[in-house]
Amino acid sequence: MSFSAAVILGLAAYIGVLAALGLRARAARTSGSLDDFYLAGRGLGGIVLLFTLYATQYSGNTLVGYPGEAYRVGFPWVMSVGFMLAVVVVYLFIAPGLRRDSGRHRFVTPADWLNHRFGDPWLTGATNVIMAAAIANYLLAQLMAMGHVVSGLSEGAVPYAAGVLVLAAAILGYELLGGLRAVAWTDCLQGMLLAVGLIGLLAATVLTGEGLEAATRWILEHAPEKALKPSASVQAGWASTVLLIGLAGAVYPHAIQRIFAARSTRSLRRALSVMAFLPFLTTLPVFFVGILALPRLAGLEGVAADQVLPALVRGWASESAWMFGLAVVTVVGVVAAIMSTADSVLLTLSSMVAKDFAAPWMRRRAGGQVAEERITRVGKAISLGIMGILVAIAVTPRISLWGLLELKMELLAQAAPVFVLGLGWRGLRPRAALAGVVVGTLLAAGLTLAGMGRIGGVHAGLLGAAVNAAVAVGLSLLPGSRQATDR
Amino acid sequence: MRRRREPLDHPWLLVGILALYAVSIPWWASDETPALLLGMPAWAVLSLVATLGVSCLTAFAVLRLWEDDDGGDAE
Repeated sequence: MSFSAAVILGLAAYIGVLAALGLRARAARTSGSLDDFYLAGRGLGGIVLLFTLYATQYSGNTLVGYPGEAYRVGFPWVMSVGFMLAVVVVYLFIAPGLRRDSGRHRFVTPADWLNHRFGDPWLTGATNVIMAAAIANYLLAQLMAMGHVVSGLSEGAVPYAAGVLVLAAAILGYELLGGLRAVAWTDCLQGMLLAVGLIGLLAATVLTGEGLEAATRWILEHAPEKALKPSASVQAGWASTVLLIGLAGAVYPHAIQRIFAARSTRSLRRALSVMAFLPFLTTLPVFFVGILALPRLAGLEGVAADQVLPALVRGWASESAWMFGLAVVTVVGVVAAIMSTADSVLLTLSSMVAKDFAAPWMRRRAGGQVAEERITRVGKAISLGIMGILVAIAVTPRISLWGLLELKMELLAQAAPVFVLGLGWRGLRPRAALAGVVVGTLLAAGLTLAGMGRIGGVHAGLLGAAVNAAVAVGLSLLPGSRQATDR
Repeated sequence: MRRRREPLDHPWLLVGILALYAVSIPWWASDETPALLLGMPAWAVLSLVATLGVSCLTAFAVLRLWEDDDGGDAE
């Protein structure tokens, strides 16, 4: 059997299990409410919560983009281990407050917390639009990653567009059947596949290469800049990326919804304590894969470096029978990682559009209350629409996956000060926070569009977030602002 | 009722985490060709050790400095 055929069979079996889990989740639903569909009835326990956080946080960007980036950058990419950890660090400071408030007020979307904390529809609307635009971009990145992986590994036998279409249809299928319950259950399977795939990936890289020390010596001889201490501007970029990912990653709406969906605070704490170590079991092996690929696959540059992982896997498949099997499992694990992020983002995006934008309009139109079951049904239709539009866009990849990730982070970072300051400082005023969001977004977007994505290594998004926070704090401290809000 | 304590109530925690992150960035390393440690440039290994320190401190804070809210949180 050819490797492409084995991969297609493996993926078909995996999609079959996903469909079965989707049907099981549909049978487990207790009502058609928003709580039940979008938050799994607020019943996610420790293990499921851990797997769904894990599978959601680590994505196509980690498994396809990061080896390529380690290949391009070399040892300075060791910094990537601290990236995902920064998200957990920021959770330390915002999750307790979000969890406490959501327990009392039954929030479904991040906008519910914004309304509760600030009571300002303009601030809620602006922050929500930024978050929705950012995660739509994120979903697009996942769809593109699915196409890259499938077409790269089948050597073009499965065209990029077909890979995107089939896997997007599979996600839609189980998500529409079972909502977050289906997404979280499939995340458990996907998280396990991801872990097995990572172990296989690292084992195969180590077993088929000349070892880490040999690779390092090769790098020192042929590309010494990739093993030397990074320059001052790279170091500044390193610190900037940690801060940017920490701030932006912690306010992913789908991550915030998992805080709301946890069965208990204890479950959430246990899951987060394990999450603090997962970069060493996920990002670090992926970093090693990129480094070990340098001597083996010399000459891939730019967007082509995103093909490092597919190129390695194809090489292993031709070495021995067990390596063939391992390569197939790795491919399915990578696809699982991408799908597990895409499904969560799609579900959250659908909840935000349905509950925060469509439902108020439906209520106005109906002149009163609208049944939650109806809003849930509208949400499902919105999922279909969003997926259709993004799949259409995904068929023309123009930039590397890492570039796409950064564009998303620049936007999302502008929502972070509202949450971080709003939870940590009671003095933050709604209109001051709104002014900060507007100024920060205009600055970050303006710099990025003007080709100044980084200044002295520091991301435009981080500069925007700093100005955003300064404006919000400064205006909140003005006596007039305080009196206006008090009235 | 006493408000449950959270990591936000411990400013030293943020200072400790920022200090470890600062060490994880190899501004302190030499510009010369690096010595190898465990098959990698030594500065990369020491950076990883500092990052592991952040993981340990974060896990400690999640488990010990974040008290459960009583409001219907039984496991």
